[in-house]
Amino acid sequence: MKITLKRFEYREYAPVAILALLLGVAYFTVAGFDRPQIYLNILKNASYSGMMALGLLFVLICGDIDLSIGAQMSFYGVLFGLIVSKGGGIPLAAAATLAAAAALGAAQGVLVGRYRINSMIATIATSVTLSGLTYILAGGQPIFDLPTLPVRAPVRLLGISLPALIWILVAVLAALVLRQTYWGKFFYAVGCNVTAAERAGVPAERTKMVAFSLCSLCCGICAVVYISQLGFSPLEAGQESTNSVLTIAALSGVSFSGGRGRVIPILCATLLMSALTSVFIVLRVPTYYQNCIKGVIIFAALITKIEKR
Amino acid sequence: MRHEHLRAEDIIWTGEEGKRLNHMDFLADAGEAVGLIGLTGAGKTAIAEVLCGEKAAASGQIWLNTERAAAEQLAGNGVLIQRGSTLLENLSIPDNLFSLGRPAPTSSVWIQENKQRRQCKTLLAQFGMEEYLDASVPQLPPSVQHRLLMVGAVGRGKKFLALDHLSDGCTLQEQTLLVNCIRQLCGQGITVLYITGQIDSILQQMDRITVMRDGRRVKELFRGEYAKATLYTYVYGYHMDLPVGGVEVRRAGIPAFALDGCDFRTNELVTIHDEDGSTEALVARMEALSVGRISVLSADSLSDCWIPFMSVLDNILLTVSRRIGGPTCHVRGSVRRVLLKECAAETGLTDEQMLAPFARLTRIERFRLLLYRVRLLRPDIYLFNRITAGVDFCDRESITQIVSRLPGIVLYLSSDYAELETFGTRILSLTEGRLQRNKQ
Repeated sequence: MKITLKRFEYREYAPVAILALLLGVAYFTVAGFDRPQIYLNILKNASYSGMMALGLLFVLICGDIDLSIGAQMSFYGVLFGLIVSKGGGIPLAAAATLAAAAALGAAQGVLVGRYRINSMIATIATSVTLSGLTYILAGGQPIFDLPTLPVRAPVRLLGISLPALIWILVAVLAALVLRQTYWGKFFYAVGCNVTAAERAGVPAERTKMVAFSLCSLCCGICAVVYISQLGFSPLEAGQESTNSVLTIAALSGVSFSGGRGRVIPILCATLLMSALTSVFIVLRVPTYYQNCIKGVIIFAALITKIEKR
Repeated sequence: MRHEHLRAEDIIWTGEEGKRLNHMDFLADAGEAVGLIGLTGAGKTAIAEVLCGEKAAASGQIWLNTERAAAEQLAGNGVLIQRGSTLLENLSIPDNLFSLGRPAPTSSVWIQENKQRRQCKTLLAQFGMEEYLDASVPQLPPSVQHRLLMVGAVGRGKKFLALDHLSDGCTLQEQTLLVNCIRQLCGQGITVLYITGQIDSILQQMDRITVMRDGRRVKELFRGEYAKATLYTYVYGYHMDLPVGGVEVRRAGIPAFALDGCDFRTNELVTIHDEDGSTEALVARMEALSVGRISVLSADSLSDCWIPFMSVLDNILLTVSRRIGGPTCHVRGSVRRVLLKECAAETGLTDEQMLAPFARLTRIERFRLLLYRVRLLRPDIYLFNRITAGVDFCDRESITQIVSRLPGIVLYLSSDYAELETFGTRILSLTEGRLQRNKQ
């Protein structure tokens, strides 16, 4: 029998190629793209949705989806802002927010893993509930006057801003977990075939719980970093983020039916979306056209996913 | 000298459909290959699940190495590999064999990739399977995946493997490899339980055969003690005459078409022996030559072509609506009544069964129904593609009897040569897409 070696998953690396092409063309044709500062800005702008996309990656690999990430980010932002405004201090506020995020994620994981509730329905329910809770917590107003926050803190390493540094750290950790740990293999196993995984001894229920928990934790980190940089807590901090994060996931070649997905394509897809936005801003492309062009580029990237029938 | 590895006494286990294990006893020595045979519903898989710790018995006792064992200990000791069990396709072979598993592969969180790969290579080499180390899982045939699962279980320290209907649909070559693998495992002190519904070549290689009927052990036979007729008697519970010779051909043959030097006649049942998928090429050529409407029926058609929660009659109505031009929202009562009568007469189903959900039918009833539905579409050629894979021998006989009465050109494909010899007018042997032999 002829044995074929594992093939190169070119689909997962489509965003890498498109990003390289886009930046290459922009470097020679778009004014300002020959300066390093613009690339640092692209990196910073990508970091928020990038963090959430990394969290969502765990859930998608498990074959589920989390549609509540936007609502979660808004909620954690308000929660963090509220604790700080009451004089709780940043470390306490951050710890409490991240603990709440992990607990909420675990609860969603239990609903999906143990009680077999469709993840789409469970997370929509969470999203709606959290949207309401966010307004209740904040009393319908953004939370201003967060005095102890290091607003626009100039924490930089080699010119890279704090959010980007945290994003890179989260990405390294996610890659290590997925590639080098047994738990990482469990995520892929559960997403690939949950029955076979359970029979092979994988704790499927717990794996899903951990995946959702990590996803919420990433949203929590994102919210803490975002509010720290912004200096106040808006009520709809994550309003648009669900769509953009799902777009990043689709571009990166993550399988929405589970079992497939890597960190590097997610990073590249995030940078690609951020770079596109920067190019449009520099070229002064009207917003409506920006959305249309982005949509066409996404379609172009998705052509690589078309299977031969 | 072998010592006792696993003993079960007086096991009772009740499933959703009633009592499946009824005072079942079982015994296996370490390094022994035990065959477990019985009709569908006899409780073969249920006892395997209990012995592997997947299900806890309602009552009874199980001893592992002469010590009382709970389900948790049994789960650590044994593993059940079923026909549908596969490796996880997005993971590499070393990950499949060493990163997953119960008990946990290691207490460490981190995977030592190089060490794991070396371990995997050594393990596969022991079973002559090192060529699969870097193979792509989706491209491995199920039989290879099953053997890799067996090897992987041994790598994780399992001492008892239950193989549930693994040889169904296997070619002779694959069966030989499976037997060799079982023998090697037994040589290393692993106890293997081989579950089957057929008296096949692998069963005859077992050291001990346990016959089950109605949830209990009815007989235990050792190698050299049994003959086919004896086994049939224990499995059925009464003595029966084995079929001798071929089935009478009832209709005169009329040449229909010729392909590769072989003519196919209407109203003739031709059996095809094929081990390498050559029949697919034959069907493709038939379709290209437009020799007639071809209906291909496989074992999967018995379940895949139906909507299980819909009634039998509604399932049939779907077919009829397709024949009369698209789905209809409303079916007149007279059509339903006529169809109910016609289908019941053809399939032998009662009115109650016709109105009950499809999922409640037995395999033979499903087969009759499938044939009825296929005949509504008036095919010229029927091709039965390994339709008896996974079917117990009593059902096999019923199926072959029904097949032999069909009008039109009937081609019956199987990789089990012994089965093909019992009926039909001639056997075509296909290899590499070509006709090798046309035996009358």
